[in-house]
Amino acid sequence: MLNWSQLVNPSYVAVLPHLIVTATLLVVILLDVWFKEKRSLVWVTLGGVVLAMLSIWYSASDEQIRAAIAAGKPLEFWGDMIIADGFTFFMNGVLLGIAALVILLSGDYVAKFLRGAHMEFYEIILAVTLGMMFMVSSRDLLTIYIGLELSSISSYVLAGILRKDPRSNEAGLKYFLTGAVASAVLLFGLSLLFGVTGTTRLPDIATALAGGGPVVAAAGPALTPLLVAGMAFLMVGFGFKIAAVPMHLWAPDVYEGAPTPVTAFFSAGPKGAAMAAILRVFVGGLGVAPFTDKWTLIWAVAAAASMTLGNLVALQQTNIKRMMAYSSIAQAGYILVGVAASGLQSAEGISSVLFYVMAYAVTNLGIFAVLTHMDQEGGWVEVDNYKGLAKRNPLYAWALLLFFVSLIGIPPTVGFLGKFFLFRAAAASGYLWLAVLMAVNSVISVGYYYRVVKVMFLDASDDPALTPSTGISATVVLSLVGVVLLTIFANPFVQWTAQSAALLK
Amino acid sequence: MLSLIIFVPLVFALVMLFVPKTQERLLYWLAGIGTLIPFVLALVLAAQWPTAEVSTAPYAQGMRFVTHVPWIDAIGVHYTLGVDGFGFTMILLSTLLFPLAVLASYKYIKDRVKDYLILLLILATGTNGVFATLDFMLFYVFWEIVLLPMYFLIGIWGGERREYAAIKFFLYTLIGSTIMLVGAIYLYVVTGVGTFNLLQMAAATAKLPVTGLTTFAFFALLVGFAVKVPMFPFHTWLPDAHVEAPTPISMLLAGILLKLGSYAMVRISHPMLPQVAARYADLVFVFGVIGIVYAALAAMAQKDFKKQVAYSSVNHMGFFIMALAAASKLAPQSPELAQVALQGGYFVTIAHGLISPLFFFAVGMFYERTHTRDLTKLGGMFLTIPVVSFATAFVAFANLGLPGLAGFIGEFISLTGSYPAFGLWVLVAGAGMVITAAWHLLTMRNVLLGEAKPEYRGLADITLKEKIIFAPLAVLIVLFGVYPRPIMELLKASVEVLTQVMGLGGM
Repeated sequence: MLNWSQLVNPSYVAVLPHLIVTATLLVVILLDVWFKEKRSLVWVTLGGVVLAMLSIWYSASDEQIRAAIAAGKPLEFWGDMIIADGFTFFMNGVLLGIAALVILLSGDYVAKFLRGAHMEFYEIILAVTLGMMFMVSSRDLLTIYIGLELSSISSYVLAGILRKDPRSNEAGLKYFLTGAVASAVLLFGLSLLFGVTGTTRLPDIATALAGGGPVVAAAGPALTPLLVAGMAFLMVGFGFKIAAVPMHLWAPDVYEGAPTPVTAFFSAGPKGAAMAAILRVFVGGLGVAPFTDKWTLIWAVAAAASMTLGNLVALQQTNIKRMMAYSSIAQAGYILVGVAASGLQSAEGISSVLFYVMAYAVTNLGIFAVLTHMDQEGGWVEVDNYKGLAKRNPLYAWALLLFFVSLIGIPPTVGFLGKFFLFRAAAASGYLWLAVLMAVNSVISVGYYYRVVKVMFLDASDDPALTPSTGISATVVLSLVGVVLLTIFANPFVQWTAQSAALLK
Repeated sequence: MLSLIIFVPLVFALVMLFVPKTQERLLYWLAGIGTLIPFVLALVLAAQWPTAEVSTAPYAQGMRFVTHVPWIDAIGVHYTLGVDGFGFTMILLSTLLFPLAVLASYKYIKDRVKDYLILLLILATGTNGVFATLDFMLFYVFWEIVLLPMYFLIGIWGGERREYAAIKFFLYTLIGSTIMLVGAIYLYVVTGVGTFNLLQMAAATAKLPVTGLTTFAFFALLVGFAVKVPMFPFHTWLPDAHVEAPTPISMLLAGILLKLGSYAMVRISHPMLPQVAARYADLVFVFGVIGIVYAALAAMAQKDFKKQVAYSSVNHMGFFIMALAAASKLAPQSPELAQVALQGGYFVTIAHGLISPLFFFAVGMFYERTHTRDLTKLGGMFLTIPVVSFATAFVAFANLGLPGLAGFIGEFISLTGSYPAFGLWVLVAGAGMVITAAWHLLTMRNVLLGEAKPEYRGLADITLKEKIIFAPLAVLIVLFGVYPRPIMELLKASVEVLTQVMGLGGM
């Protein structure tokens, strides 16, 4: 009898999801040349992503990898560039899930508005996903940065993919210019960190900062100006990616101008991946006293500013995509609460961030599925266009209601559990004020979600019923199921996030 | 069994999703059965009550009909159900009122019947769940499940200013409950008990010293519940919500939803932090008494019949707040005295749960016939619709606290029970009782007595449907007015446990 586990090299098993996505990308590019029937190619893309998702289960159940995780020393491969720990698997699963839902919900939109660049859309989605997957799968600053760049550069193209629409062009250009600056700042921060510690590997950076490295050894564990600058640059760079205040100014314009399925993708994917990278870098690399106190506090302030400003400005919006942009800024603020807490109580903090990223992605993609449909049906992007939706399409209206409820954080939805874990992390790390502020902000956010709910349910409309689209209805139903079932059967996911968190440091 | 009581309405709601909305009779039947089954089950439990096993497990000490299944193990959240006297009386009340509310809706709600009934059933699941659960997370889930259906029930089927009233109700409760969540999580973290079980948490938190943070936690919990009760000064949503809500929803709002708050106080905030409760008992007392007097005066000043009744809810629940404050102050010195106050206070909530729905229903009977709630326009009703008027007079007397009816007993015991704690200050509350009695008499004179108004001639008198709704509640009001022992017996053990816990806190 052949024993597969002996034949298969774990270095390939560890990157199996990445390999499958890469292969899918190449296959789709090749097939795109010959096939005229593009819609069936979309299924190939989706199939590849789902296969990659399933392969995570295969990688995670590899004996050597599992034994190493259980022993508390996860294996690293490819010259220590890729790490096979629970964190990697969890985030890859979430990111691939996001990609799958976006591919599912974008079918009709792309067929209608992107005739000239039909498959390019999906190819770029795959490229962004691949970049994000590398970003979360490594403990090395270089891999993290390369992954981030791959995903960012592809994102710029994605934002401007509606070539004839000036708003989309503006979004693309704006995203590119500001994003490039942010990337440069981030890279500069990384180089400073490298200069001080002499390494790009995060665990080694942590050891060096604790007093074990060649450069720091002379000065001892202290906040040298170089380190402070490096840390600050890193925060600015990552803060841009997650659209945290005050690096959020690009988000509303890009979210509004980009095609709606792309906005859906931006709101969930890059944000989640960047959050994961922040955790890797800050908890894994800079999680050493006395640095921890400093960056925790700064992230806490950024969290407070993001959620308050995001929610207050969202109250003023009439365009629903713009409103959701500010809502996502506020949501980033909530997640940053977990990031701040992870500096002091890493287990609670990290697992709360991971859980919330998942909860937020499931919920937000459901919302954007409906938004995409409204956009492609009649260009309805104003809140007033949602009048009487409860009569025009009850599924969409009730689903939106439940998704909003989840974003506010009211049970029985997964958003509530996510908020709950953030509350717990904040309380455990002594950031009670942040928890209270978050509670107040949740109530403020009711204001703008309520406006949509009100026009949907309480206002009448003469418009005819909406014919549902298969891809979008499927996404909405999947999200609905996710929002409810992830609450009722939360236990395995909570345990998974807790295990992922335990190994990060 | 408790699980069935909670989830049968939800299952019926799911079934009703697939019934076409033109089948209104079928929908009503389904909703009626879906709310009657829990009531029957609750009666079965009541019959089993004396012989039921009393749990000794730490997660359900002193509870009956316990279910304990892990839910989110990783953080110590369990699906734990179980009831004592506090919870079980409320479950009986709630399961009784829901079928009556469904019946009261019949032919009264004309628009979007299907949506209405489904929301009503979800509401039933939420309220029954709150009264049966012993785990904070589960409690919070049910607590919030109540919120959304109620928002829509007021916001879609309410009166003219329904949207305003609905969102006001929603926001008030949501602010209260999110802050309450933070407070509870703080307690969970600071004690390190590793479980959200209410009893196990309380065992740990009751030993905490009174510091700024535990005070914060106590008031976070208390305010979350006080909004629902509603306790002065968090009561302002209530008159709006009541006036705009359709009659069956007003009945439920007054009968059950306010009790969520009072129940939560005796189950969560006071057992968990009795030391803080004792320290701030005077403050809570002051708010309770202000509520009593202020609400009585405000009710007197209203021109709207329904608003009067709404304010009387604030007034009655004030007695509960007062008695609870007295109990938390007395418990450290003399548990026996505290028991009297607590028993009286909780009896008030039960009596109010029977009387006020009936009163709202009576107002609804007038409104359906005359299409006005304006007190200046009504008059001489004894001569036009005598039976309805008699029924209204009966319930008004019950509400003002006439001896022999259920309302009197609770308020009287609350007053006498609070006297040892606050001395003659309780007379202020007594004055509130007098004012309440006064405006009831004035209103009755306005509405019922006097010359028959010509525009109301020929109105139909009480219908069979109205009799069916009226009878059970009226019988219970009389029964518990002359023979309150069954309720007192049910409450006794729970009251003893709670006063014991509260007594520990003062040391």
